[in-house]
Amino acid sequence: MCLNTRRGISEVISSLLLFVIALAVLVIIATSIYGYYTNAISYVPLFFHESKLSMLEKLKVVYGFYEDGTVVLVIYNYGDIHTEISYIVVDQKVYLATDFITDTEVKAGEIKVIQFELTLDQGIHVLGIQGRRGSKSTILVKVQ
Amino acid sequence: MSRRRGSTIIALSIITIIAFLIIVSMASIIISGMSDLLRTQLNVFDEETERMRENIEVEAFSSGGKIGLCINNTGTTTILITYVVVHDVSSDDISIYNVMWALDTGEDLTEILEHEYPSPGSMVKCVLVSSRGNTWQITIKG
Repeated sequence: MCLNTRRGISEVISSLLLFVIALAVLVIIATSIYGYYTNAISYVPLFFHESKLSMLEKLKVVYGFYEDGTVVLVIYNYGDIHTEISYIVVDQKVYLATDFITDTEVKAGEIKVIQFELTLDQGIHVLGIQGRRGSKSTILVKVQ
Repeated sequence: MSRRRGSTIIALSIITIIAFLIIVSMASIIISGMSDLLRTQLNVFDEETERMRENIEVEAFSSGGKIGLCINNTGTTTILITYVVVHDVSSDDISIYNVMWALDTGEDLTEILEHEYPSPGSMVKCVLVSSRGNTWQITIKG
């Protein structure tokens, strides 16, 4: 009769081994959760920061006129932050500002004159701009 | 049996503590962001209220061939005129003058612009711009 005389590992070693394995699994899970959490949480202050900036952006068309196929708009940034003109609105149509002008930046407290070629029919037209963070301003322009 | 229960309690305690820390850190970030946003919003409301209280009356006159402006602050707050935009209608020239004219409530101010007064038959439009974004337009005929 052949009996298996090999002895198993002791209770202490097996407990330690199990503990180390459990700890390793825990560390892996915790690291992945922590990575996901820090990634997700990093967007929260960014969201608040962007919301704050959108409140501080203030662009206004202070004057405008149309003459010989050219639209002239005087834009004032009376907000606390530098910004850019993203869109130009002509009546119901929205154009990218870069379609008409190259320098779209308006610094805080700066007044800027932009002019671009556009054909408008006789009558009253709504011309407007929209800033990078959503501030809008319009002006009525009469075309003779 | 009791040893296993003890391990379960310890594991649950660790998970609860971690969850609590995550919730607390998230809440602190959200609360600080919200309070900052609210403070900004209140400042914006204050500025908007002040903006609505601004009002001026402007009259133009010729002073030595230059444009003179007589401004009366008829609003209920102090005003800072930051720019004067002058549009020469006949030539379509736009001139911008960076000025710093401060007016207290009810105060009168007379200033001379370094811009030629329009000759007879011509016309210019002056737009006064305040630091809070209000504008007042005056047409000057020569």
